[in-house]
Amino acid sequence: MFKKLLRRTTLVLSLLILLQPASVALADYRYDWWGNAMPSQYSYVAEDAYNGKELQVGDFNNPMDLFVDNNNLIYVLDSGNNRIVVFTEDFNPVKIIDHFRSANGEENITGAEGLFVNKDGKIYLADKANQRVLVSDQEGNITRIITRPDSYLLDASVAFDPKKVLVDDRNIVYIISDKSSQGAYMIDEAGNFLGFYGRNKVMLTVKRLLDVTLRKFATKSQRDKMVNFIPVEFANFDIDEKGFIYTVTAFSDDPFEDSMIKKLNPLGTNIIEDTGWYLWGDMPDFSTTETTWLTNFCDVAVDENHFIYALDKGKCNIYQYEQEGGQLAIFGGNGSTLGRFLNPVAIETLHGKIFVLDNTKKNITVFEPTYFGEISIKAFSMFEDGYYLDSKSLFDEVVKMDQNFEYSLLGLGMAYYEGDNYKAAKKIFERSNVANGKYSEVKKEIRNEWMKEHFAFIFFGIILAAFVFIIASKIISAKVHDMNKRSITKGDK
Amino acid sequence: MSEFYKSMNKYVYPLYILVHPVDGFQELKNNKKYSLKVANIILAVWVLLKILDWGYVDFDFTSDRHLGEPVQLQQILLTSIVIFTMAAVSNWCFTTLMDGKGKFVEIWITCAYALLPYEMLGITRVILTYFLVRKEEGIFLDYMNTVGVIWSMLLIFLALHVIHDYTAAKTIASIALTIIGVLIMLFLVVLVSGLASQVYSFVVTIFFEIRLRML
Repeated sequence: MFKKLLRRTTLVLSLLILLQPASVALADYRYDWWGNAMPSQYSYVAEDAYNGKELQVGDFNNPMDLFVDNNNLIYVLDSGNNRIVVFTEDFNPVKIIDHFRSANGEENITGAEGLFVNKDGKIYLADKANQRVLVSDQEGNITRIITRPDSYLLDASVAFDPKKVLVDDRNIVYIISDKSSQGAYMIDEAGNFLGFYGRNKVMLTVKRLLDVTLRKFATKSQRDKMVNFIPVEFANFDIDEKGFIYTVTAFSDDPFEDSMIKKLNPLGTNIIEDTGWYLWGDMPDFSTTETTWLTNFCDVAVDENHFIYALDKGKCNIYQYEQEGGQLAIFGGNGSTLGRFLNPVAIETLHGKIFVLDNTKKNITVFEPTYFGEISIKAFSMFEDGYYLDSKSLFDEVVKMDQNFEYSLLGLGMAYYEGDNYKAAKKIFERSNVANGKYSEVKKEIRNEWMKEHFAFIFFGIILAAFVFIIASKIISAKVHDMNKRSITKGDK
Repeated sequence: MSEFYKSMNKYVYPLYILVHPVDGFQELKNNKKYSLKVANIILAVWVLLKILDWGYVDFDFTSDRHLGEPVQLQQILLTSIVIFTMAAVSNWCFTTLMDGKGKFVEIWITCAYALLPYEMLGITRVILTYFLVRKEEGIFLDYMNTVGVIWSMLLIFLALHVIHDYTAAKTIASIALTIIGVLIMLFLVVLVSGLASQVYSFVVTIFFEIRLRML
């Protein structure tokens, strides 16, 4: 076992050393429960980056979005060149769609920002410049144009500037409009407006309460100059195969306030349990100006195992979260070398690989998991599915390679717990701050075991104690009675 | 029954006060049935309880604030003995002016005795953390703590009420004044320490200045 591990570790290490100059110059990190950035093992390394010329399709020009469809084809929305380029998983070009025809003649997509391909192969394009969503087939024939819906539900002042688009299994189109705080537009196949989906909330803080109170006493012209409290709009979203929609919000004044990454159910409510201490993105840098909140999410992707990958345009980082929102890895960074970005715009995953599209570098970076990343993903997927016992050996290895990894400590502890090894589980949970309440459960199990073992002793002990108590109280009360009598007689004299 | 407790020696007497505070404090005042030694031991146990609460409860019950942080004795002393002393002095100052019958030693000792239920329940609580589970039975320990605090506060009120021979309203007023007095003292301490440190730095600066001139 040890030999195997050693061999694997050396393999990984040598791999890392080989890749060192290009991709892993700075250490990857992860925040612990206290909010300290702890160095972590490398989970992902950049394997390669492809620009348009290398892929034999000509340079990309202002590429805006990336999409992986059901047939594992990779679509690149190359807005500046007015085209969509399709690749296989290994980045062999399949086709280029560069002519879009509708009943009105040739359509221009240079202003498009969002791309989605549904399971029938229909391509949805969010054309922000022309305030519409185009639906095209694989040949570029536009079959449908979605414009601003006409509905009494919709206020006339609400703009329709489609930025990102998404389609669910019922062919309902979800559209994020630029600077719209209501949530995503929901439009069905017939073009009816169904309502808005999943908006962010404005949290009440002392400062805002004060402002609201002040507003009550202000004149109208003063009031117009005051800040309105409207929720921050979604920056982007993604859908998993179960139909859950994951949204990211670009920034937040307070990282601990409303969740920046949400998993929305069909009702539009967040189902990632808010434990109050999840940190989305990076810790804000308080040393710079007051309002600088450096994390600026621009895209989110969900893989087959429901791991969440969020892309941060501000810090150029990629954040990997497990299904419940626990932070697993932070990698990437700002820079022009391989594995770093200047202006990342889109992220997608396929078979464990991560693709990131960079608008400025005009290329696609491919990340592959290291051995550590691979086993930790395997372990966490098993953990999510409830195979605690089977995941033990994997978590063991993960913990051995990265002692600071609190979520993997939780996994290992659960494996021991499930295997009725409570003493070991207790020791592990002591080290993991995220094992909320699990320590109590283990303690209870240990107590129950002890009670079972020593039941006879405890039982007879209680009976004995009761006897002693009864006898003692009888003796004492007799003595007191005696004393009182004596003092009364003394008083009589 | 009561005769038996009254005939107790003064070292066990605080236990009688727990359940018969009015009679107990009256007896304590009239017949000088107190022991400074016992009172000081109770205060020492208070400090001990604070230390236990900080660093020696079971891991399950460790609060976030204290997790991984070593016990800081000066902070514990400041929030227990120092504040107690200040409150006793402040109460004595005000009650002398308000026709209080209590002497300083009586204030000190009765208030220390009044802390007993809080301490007894507190130490039981610390021991129980090793047997109970926070997720399920933890709430009982919180109740226990609350009961202890309320009991002790009630005893302090009755103690002052009895030893100063006050009406209830006057007792409340004297307690309010005592709190104000403590705040004034704290303000003065901060002021004086601030000024003292300025004077100190002034003297040090002058010293260095002179030394540089001489050389």
